[in-house]
Amino acid sequence: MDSSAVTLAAHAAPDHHRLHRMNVFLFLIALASWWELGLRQGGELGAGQQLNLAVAATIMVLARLSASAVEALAYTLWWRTRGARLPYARFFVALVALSLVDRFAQSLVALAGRAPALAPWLAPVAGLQLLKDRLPAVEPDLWVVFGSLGLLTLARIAITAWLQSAGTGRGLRGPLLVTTLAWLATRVALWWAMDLFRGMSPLR
Amino acid sequence: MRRAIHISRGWRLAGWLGWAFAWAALAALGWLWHLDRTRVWQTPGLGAPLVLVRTATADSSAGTWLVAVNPDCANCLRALARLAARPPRGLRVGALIVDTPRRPGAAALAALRAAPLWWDARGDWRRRWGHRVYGEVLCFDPRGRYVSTRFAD
Repeated sequence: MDSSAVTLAAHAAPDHHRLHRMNVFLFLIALASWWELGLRQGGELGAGQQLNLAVAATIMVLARLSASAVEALAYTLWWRTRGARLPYARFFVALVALSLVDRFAQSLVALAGRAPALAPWLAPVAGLQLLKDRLPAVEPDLWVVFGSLGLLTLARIAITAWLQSAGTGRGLRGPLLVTTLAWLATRVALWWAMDLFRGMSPLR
Repeated sequence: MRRAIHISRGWRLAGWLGWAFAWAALAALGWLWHLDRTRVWQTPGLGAPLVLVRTATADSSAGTWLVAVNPDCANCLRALARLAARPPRGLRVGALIVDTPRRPGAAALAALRAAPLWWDARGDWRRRWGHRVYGEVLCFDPRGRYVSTRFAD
């Protein structure tokens, strides 16, 4: 390693620590945010009658954590097979922090529900699902699967790729390709699984 | 800074096998989906082989809606109760008991406060019609011909 590389590495290390500290902070905010959403949705579904609201909210937070843990594990293993080390714990914390983007998208969808006139304007950002009423011919399960596609989803994919690039020290192109393919594959798998689950029964 | 690590050939192979397994699982799911979607399912119909276990007291000019219920499913029983309490004008709201191989007992029938009540003794709803979601509403015209399927609410 030459002297300029050493200087760069010395600068990069504090940046990584700063980024991790910020991710830990956002991680905690994300947990609180998903907990609050769990409490609210549990209340709307009448969970208080049969199930403690705190239990419902805890289940929602645990589900989010599990999803991020599996996602982080999949990428970590992928890069391991490619001969690169992606620090699992830091990447997991970053993914949970990044789930705030999904949470923000959900808030925009809820806002469009309260003010339908805003839906066409919010759709490019929050997801195509906001155009569902205007395009009745599209299959309902396609809305469920690809309805979240919008600028926020694209940003989430791009940041997930950037985190892998920063974590492994590799260029952005490979992580971007892997993340996009993984997103597409999971969406298609969800589509097929939903179709198999419902058969000829309609989707809501 | 590129953080390359040395991994043994065995681990590399295991990794590739893992990803190959994941892709094979996705392909298998896709194959199942293709088979399911291209299968020709029968159109639902009232009458044999369904068994009428409770008849409707009043005739209907607008048709019959049957909520697909399983006696063990509390949610679909509630969906049936809600729809039967406020039936759409001119329609009679009954139930189709599904996924119940043995004839429902008196207690199970008493919990279904709707008429007509049909029992899918052979499991046609799932196996021949291809339907799988409890609580859906099968709509039939006054002559008992299938029109469509929709949700209770």
